[in-house]
Amino acid sequence: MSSEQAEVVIVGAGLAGSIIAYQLGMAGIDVLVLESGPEIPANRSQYLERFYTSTLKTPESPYPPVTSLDPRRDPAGQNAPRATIADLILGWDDPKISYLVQKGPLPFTSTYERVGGGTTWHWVGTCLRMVPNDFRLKTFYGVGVDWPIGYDDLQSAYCRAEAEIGVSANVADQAYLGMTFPEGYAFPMHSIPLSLVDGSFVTAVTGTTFDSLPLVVSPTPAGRNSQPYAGRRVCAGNTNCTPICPIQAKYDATVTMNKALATGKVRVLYRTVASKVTVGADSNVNGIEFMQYQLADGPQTGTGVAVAQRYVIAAHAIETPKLLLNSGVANSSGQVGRSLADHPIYLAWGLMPEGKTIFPYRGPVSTAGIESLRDGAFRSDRAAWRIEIGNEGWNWPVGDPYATVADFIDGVNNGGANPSNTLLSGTALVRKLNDVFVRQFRIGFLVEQVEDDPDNADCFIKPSTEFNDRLGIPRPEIHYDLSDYTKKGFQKAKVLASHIIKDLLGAQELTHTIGPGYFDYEKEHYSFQGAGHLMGTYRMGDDPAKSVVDKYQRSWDHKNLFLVGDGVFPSTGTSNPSLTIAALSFQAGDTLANDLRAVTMQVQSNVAWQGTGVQLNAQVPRMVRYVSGKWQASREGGMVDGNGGSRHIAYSSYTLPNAAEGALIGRVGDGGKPFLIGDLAQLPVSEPGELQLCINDDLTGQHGAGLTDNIGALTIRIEFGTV
Amino acid sequence: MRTEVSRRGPLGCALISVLLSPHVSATPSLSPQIPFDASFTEPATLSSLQANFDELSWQTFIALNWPALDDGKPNTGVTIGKQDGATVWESWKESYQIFRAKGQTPLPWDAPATLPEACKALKPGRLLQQMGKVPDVLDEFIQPFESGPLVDQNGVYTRNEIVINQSMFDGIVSNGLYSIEGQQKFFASNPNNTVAFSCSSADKKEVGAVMVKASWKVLGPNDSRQDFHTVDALVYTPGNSDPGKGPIVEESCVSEPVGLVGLHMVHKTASAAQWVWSTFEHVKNVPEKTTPVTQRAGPYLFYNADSQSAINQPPPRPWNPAVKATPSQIVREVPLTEATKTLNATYQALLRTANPQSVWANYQLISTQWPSDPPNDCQVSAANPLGSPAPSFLANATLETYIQGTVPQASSSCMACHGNAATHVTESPRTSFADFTYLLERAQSTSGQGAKQ
Amino acid sequence: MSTDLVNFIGLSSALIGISTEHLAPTIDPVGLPPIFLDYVCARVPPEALNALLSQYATLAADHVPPDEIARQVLAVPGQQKVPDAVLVARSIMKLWLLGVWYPPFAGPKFDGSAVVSDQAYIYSWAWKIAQAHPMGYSESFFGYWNSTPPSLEALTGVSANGQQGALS
Repeated sequence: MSSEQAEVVIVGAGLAGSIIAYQLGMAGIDVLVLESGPEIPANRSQYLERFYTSTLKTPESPYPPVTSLDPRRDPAGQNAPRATIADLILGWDDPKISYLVQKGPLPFTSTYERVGGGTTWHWVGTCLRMVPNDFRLKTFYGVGVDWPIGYDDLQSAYCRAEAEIGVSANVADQAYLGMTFPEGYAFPMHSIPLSLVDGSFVTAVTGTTFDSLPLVVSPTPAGRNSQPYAGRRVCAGNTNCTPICPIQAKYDATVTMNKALATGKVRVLYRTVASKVTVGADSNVNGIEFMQYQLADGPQTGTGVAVAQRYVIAAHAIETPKLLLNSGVANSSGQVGRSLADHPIYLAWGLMPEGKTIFPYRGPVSTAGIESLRDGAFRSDRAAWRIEIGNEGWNWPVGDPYATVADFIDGVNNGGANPSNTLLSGTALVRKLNDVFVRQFRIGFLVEQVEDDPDNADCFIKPSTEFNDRLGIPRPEIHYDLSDYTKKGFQKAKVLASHIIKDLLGAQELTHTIGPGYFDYEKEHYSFQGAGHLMGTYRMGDDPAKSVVDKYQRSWDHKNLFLVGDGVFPSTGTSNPSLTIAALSFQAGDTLANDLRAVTMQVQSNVAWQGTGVQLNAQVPRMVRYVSGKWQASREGGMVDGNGGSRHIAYSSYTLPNAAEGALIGRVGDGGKPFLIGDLAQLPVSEPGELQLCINDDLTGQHGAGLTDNIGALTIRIEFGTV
Repeated sequence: MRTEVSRRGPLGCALISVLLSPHVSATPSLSPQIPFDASFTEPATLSSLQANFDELSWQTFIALNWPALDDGKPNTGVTIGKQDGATVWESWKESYQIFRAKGQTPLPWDAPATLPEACKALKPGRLLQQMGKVPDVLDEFIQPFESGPLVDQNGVYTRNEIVINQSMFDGIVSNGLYSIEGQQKFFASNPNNTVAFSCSSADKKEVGAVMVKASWKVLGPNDSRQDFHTVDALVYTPGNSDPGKGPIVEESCVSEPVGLVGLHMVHKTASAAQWVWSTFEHVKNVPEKTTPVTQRAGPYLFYNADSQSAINQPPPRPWNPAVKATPSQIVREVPLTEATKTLNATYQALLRTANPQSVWANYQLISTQWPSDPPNDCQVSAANPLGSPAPSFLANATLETYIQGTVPQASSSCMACHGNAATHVTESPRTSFADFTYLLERAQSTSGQGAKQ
Repeated sequence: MSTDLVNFIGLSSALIGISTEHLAPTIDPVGLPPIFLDYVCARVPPEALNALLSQYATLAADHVPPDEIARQVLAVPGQQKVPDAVLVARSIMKLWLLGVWYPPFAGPKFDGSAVVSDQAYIYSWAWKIAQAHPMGYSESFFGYWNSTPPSLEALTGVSANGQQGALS
């Protein structure tokens, strides 16, 4: 049994864990990350080779432990197994096949990875913000749960997330449905060009409406380089974002984890599975036990416990509650594991009319969507959705080009383009295949999933009492269903899909139910796909009786425990969750850094520039906040706080001429240019160096007593975060 | 089966036209003349063309490493290798002299190099600032992963530099491509403007664009100057505090002797719109993976038979050249072909005729990557942008250390990776295309905001 | 080049409609044809493969046009069971078009199918026929997806029917 110590222990080296590790490392805090899966590899050749030679090119196909249709692996023999699409195909409800012990009634169809870098290895890269009303479903629409924070609370965190990931978008395209941006804000890179497929949608839907809402095609903000950025290449349109970008033009969390390692303050233990969180008599977490292994299906090679001052669990929305429930901690609300949500997808596809070529299979997997129906009055009645326009033809719905090629060679019609079961060969085959491929398209409606009764959720994960993994850790048991509210959203999606495809595009619709998830609603049969978005299982809230963490992502039950990732989402909105995960992770990082490194100090009124010992750098934003106390620069000015008094003196001998007398002034380094702080200010990031503070007064005494007659001191706090 | 020479694709007639024109004999020679193109022999097969391009590589290696006069021109009065000294390519412009802070105009071709402040007090020497494949603004190209530094047996990082010849320099300067604003202006001023460096022409006897990347090892007490082409260099580490730009390091400048361990030479010729990519290494760098462990006869510069370190793995982060590191344990994933080994022996013997101790006989060609289906007008075509590279993969163990192999896109292929190079103006394929060099990504903004690095 | 390889290339070319110059260029840094032939030989009964190759050789010697050769090779008389040789020929077509070997006698499920190699995948022809590239392997430059691709003829040597303009 080994013992590890750090100031902060983070479980999970994915998006959330990497961002927090990076921020804390830059703040000079010692961090230990426990990652259940294997190391970030030196290059992506092994992952890519696995992908190239896989017959089932699912999102998980490049990543360990290997998944394929054959040979089948029993998850009971794997040390860090995870949900896969192969599981869904082969037997979603068979625990000898499926890692998730699925009890239904519907299959949970989303998957995730357990490796260094996490699931961002195979995300599409979509970086949409949530719209303001997403945070207020209950208040505005009477459904779901409100967040304890709003869009404005996340504004600067969204900007930081967009900078870290490297998001390509234009503000002009993204300021819809109430989304705002700081004055003069520009995304890190310009928008990615639309595809020809997108162009056909633009032509078809612009100017039309659905349920009185306009249909607008918007370029999708993406964590994908449209310009050289952060040492990564620009997108070459490999059309493979999911499952793997061959050239890392698409961001993945290994970027941030590598930066965390560069600080010299972060360590990662791989193949280290957190198994139990223990709590002491003071109800603080006092350790996280772990088990280690070498081979994915080999024996356990070690055990240990990690001890820290703060604990962060960032293992995504199924593994995190599994760990908490296995440990019996953090659950006074009873909501841990509850409200498991996905964005179930309604997939529709079709064939453009003859002569209307759109040339799919080119560019990123998706470059645009219809986002204009993500919000509206209808949300009191049925689920909202966003529409993702796909650039990969019929690859997703039917497995093209494989299906259509086989159709015309074998004289069958599995793909849908060969209703006459024609047999072709030679140049006729080439021409026919070309004719079909260049007209294919698909769209996906990402439907918001809302529980009918959010405090008694139908969807939840709990540890299985019957099935374990190879380490003996109980596997997740999944209960999953879709509410009528969500199904009604599907109903509308189906109507609009057909309207767009048949009426607006003039195309032939080939949508049909394809599994693995099916349901019936009002006499119609539907199928749904997983978006790869698992959310909601340890939600944040204002009320400890109904939520697991507060708005700072701190556990209500254990003050030194933080739960991060999209498990904290009380509602899912319709946006792909990664950007919001990243934004919240920056905020959690601020809170943790403040817990451990915020500096509270007194600034004397009768001393000139005073050092704070705080070294500023551009990567970790900091601010100064007035806490208490009063001081005086002159009898006329009186006792004031950091904002100073009403007199503004222009003398050059003042700390900051023309600023309020008695105001709190800062500078970075001995030679730094003074700037106004007042009671609250963001510290400038242009120069690294030590923060120094001073009262705004006559420093040289050439106009009077100078500092010598000053009285009092201010107590201020130098914090991490943004104003 | 067709027996006449044919090239795939409707446009691929370049080689036929070259074959039909008079060509120069391909006998190995010690010559300071940079070849204008490969000399093609008939009948053309994959292996004969490979041999032709390999000879181009060796002749280019000899010409570029020829002792130089003060003005950078080759000293035709001496023969290469009689004495080690400054080479022709070392007089070419370094990348940091071209892509300057605030996008300032580069000094003229003949102007002496400017030194960073930290180096000015030191004795004159060659400035080397690049430290392995790290994700900072100094990188020539961006790897799928931050590859990592290469560490020698003394625990010291190897250092890299990139220089370009006057033809390529002129192409950058005259079109204003050295700043972001200059690039924008270039593309905006004419809808047909594209980045297109000059192709060498045998007809006009002009050498086109050539770019060189060199890797150097700091010579320690156990390293002998005689075994290397040696230079007294200024090893410069720019300070950095932003891990997004590279490792967190203090600025430093040290005067040290360094020995050449790797050399890329990339040459744009009329028969290679995608350029010809030649790469050389010091013969003692690494053993081949296919050589049984017990038969790996060292000593090697980047491999130690007694080491337990994992093979071909970068050192753990953080990477700091000021801190002594564990020596890298490197092997060559893809062995040299027998034909290449034979050619190397021929040229090494030739070099020894000038001086049995010629430092240049310590170097070997790894291989040459060339487009087997190039367009016939030296303009890249959309139907086959890379021109069917041959061989499919190529890596220098000192410059693509951690991405050797044969997995498409993940393993090193000169053209496949450099095909991803872009300008700062990515509005369209026309403006994005950077003609296979990542250098244009180093352009800074005149406003001082910096590139989006 | 062996006679078998010559006939294999010719047969493959006729079956999928892509010229031998495209499938097996004289200067070929990748060299898939002999790899494919070896792969197929190891997995089909020699009688079936030899029957196909000789049938091809005979028809080619008679200067039968490639499209017609394909039709004859792939013919299934009446309502009969599909002959083994035809099943093998179909698998060979899929091998070139998709880089995947589907065992000819395995039935409708994909059991036993395998991607022959990473090179087989990235050089498979279905994607060029789509005027695109294999997912996960692009040699094109940023923004290319906003313009129309090179023509079918430029990529495969086969000209398309009708117009090839993109939607505006």
